[in-house]
Amino acid sequence: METLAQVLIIGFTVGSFYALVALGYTMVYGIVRLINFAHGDLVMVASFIGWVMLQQAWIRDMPALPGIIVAAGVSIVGTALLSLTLLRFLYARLIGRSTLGFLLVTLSVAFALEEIVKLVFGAREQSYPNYALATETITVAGVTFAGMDLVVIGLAGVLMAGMIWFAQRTMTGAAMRALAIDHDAARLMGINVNVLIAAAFVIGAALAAVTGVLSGVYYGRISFDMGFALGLKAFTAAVVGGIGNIGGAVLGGLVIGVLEAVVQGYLAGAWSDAFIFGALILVLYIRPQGILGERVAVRA
Amino acid sequence: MKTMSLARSRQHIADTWPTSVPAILALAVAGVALLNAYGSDYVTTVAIGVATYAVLGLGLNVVMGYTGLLDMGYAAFFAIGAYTSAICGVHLGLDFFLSIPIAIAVTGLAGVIIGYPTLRLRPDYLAIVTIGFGELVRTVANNWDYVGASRGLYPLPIPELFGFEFHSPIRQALLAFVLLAVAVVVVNRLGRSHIGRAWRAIRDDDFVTESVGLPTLRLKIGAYVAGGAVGALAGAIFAARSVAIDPTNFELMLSVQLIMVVVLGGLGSTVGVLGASLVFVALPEILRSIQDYRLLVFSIAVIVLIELRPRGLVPERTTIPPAAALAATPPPRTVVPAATAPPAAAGTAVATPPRATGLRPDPADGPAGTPLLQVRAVSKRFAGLVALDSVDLTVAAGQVIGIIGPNGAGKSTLVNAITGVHRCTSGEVVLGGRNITRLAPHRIARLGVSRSFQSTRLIDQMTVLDNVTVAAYATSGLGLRDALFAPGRVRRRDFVSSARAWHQLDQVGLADAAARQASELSYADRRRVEFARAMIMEPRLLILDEPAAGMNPAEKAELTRLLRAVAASGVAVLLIEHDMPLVTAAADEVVVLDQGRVLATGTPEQVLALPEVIEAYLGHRTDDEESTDDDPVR
Repeated sequence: METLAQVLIIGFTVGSFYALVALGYTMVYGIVRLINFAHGDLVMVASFIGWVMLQQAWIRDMPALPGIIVAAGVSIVGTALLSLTLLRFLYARLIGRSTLGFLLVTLSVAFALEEIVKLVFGAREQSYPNYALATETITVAGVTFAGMDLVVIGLAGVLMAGMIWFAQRTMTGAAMRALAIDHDAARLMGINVNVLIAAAFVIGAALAAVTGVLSGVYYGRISFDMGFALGLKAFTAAVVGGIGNIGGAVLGGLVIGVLEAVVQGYLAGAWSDAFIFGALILVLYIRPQGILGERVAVRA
Repeated sequence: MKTMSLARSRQHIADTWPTSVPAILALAVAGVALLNAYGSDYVTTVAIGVATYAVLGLGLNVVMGYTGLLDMGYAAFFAIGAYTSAICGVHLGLDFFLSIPIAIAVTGLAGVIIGYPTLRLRPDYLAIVTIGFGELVRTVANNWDYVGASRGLYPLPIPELFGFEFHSPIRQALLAFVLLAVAVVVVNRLGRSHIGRAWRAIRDDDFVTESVGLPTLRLKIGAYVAGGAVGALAGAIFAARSVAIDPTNFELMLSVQLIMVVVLGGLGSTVGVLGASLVFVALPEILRSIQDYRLLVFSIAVIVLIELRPRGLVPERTTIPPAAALAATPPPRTVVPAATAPPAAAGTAVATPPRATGLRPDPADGPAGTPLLQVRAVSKRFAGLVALDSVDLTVAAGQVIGIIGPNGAGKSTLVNAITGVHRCTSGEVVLGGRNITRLAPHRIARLGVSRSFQSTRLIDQMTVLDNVTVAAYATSGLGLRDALFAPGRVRRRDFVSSARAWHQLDQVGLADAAARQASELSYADRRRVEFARAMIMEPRLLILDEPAAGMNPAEKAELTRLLRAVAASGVAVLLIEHDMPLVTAAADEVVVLDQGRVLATGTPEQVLALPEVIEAYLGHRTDDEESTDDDPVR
């Protein structure tokens, strides 16, 4: 029997994954006003890098937690490098010149990444090692939590708080917020736009990498086609929360995660995607800028 | 003479066959005859698959190729079309051919429901909403028992027309190819009409397109719905040849593959889409070994294509009518007297007195001197910043009003408030007695308000002639019905519009540049095209935002003469300018804006003598300076 508290915990866990991925979308979107359709598939690539690392003998000999941390670290570096390479050689020349071109290239990159991973690792699912932590449960006030739920929520919470701190309290964050408002003015203030675009791609990739490895550990299984649907829901979360707004991505992720968990817990599970995308369309009708967002209806 | 008429009729055939029902139908039937003679059942089945894909590609091409909107859930239209047709057959017992218009209507309705809220927003929102829409439709189909949920809907009845049953592959191929022919004719007619030109203009710059009087939101929804309707046709073909349909036929991957087909087909090209569909469907059948790599190969092909041609992704294929023919067609209305055309044309006619022009002399405007535009206490605030603070302004027909003021005074904001780009925070704008404060920009443009932009804005990927012709959209008198059912009338009226545009270009000395891409023009020539574009709209009020920027003194003198002539023909002119000598020479009256407020109004001489105006421009005089007032050096 699932209680409301348990449903909410699942919602927050899934929502934390969405929020971490949504942060990547929102940071890039905040600066270049473009959707990077390949972002969800970075999560997939990251979880495969993590998986490869966890197969290595020297990591398997380590205790669980340090092993995961090393694997995640390699995954973060690898995913960030991949993201930078794609930016440098494929995306950079399209930014500011061809919106349709950028969208189409990132979309094609998403499917190329999936196909390449499928060629290398096969179409079937791969298993992450079993960790004791993943199956442990804690009971608080009669409600039973999976230990991993708390780890995911806690880690995501720390990262999200870090991101909000970064955006509000650091020079780089302030420069990014300035860019989101007015490119030209920001440029005149001496902000190097290209460096910040690269920074946003790297931070987004790092968050995607954490999500990828964490979801591998959490769900135990990964596959080449896990990224696109995740990316889709995360983007929905970013839009619902207010795209370009870091707090909005966090809020949107949690809203979508809880909505999904509630629909799956109390209504028909198979309908949850219909609810999520229905909610997206509804939000765009009522409040197109999202819950925390700025006005997006451009007329000038 | 004979060869010339032969050439002309050959040209005529080249222009008309892609939109001709008999010609396209004949091609389709010839294709089926070839299949019947030489193809096996297997080849015929593959050909039906190609035709289905091609119809889908053509529909998506309207949305993506013509209009530049990224629809990532196009399979939803395919699904709605197929399911509606199937429901009509399985549950309602309706005839297949009756189900086609129903499927199109239902799909169109879905297109409006999704398109209306989304297309008001940034273009990339459509991409994400359409993905959501595609998944929504598939999820519903997968769970709704009425349509068989994941088992699908079956058995679908065999289509029958007057006792002729479409049961064998070759008969189904006949049906599929005939419907493909219908789709080809529909998209070609739309694409080659005034609507197609409007869509291409939107693809490059929807803001400018709106400002020259085109209802861009309605046109975008139109493109989305038209694309959807063609998708419904593909759905019907699919339902006709299948025993059952189920949700796996309509997955996201199909939408993605269709996008690749349209991109590789050259975005906007009918022949390209047909070719790409053939390659996409038939090649993996021939080369079984590439089946597994199909998606990878096509993704990489799309990336390479876009990377190599980021800007010229869409090769513009417009045929410009020959200049001689355009020149020979007298324009129905002469707008600017030749004597006052800008420098390049100035040599041709010198002292012709300004002719009476066809500038809509609206009886409601009254004689020259009656207020045409009244701006009453208009304020505009941007999140705390007051850009306009209770501005009043009156412009009469035949008058040139100069608006001056330092940078940031609110001049361009005022233009945007009048033309409907910005919604006023308070106050009202009245044009010829009609309150236009809350009208959309294209409606205001259609009421006779033309503008130029501070930084020139042309539709760079179009020819110079099309840049002007597109502004004749509102006055062409053509509608959707003409585009679909009367291609001949569209061609004739469009030729008249082109001729009008050509004459406007001739007036500014750019007739020779009519066939060039707008992006190739020099800065001064771009301004001239903007002027021609503004004038083809037959404005009652002409708003020019810094038209003299970058002009040399001779050009400025010409501009002054031109403005006086336009005003003399009864047009009200609002001139935003920094160039004081020009304003003094051209304007009857000057309004000085400073920090969003009207600082002074009067004749140029009066206004420029006012100390507060000098102060606003040159800054406050310090005590130190005042004490040295008698300094002989000054």
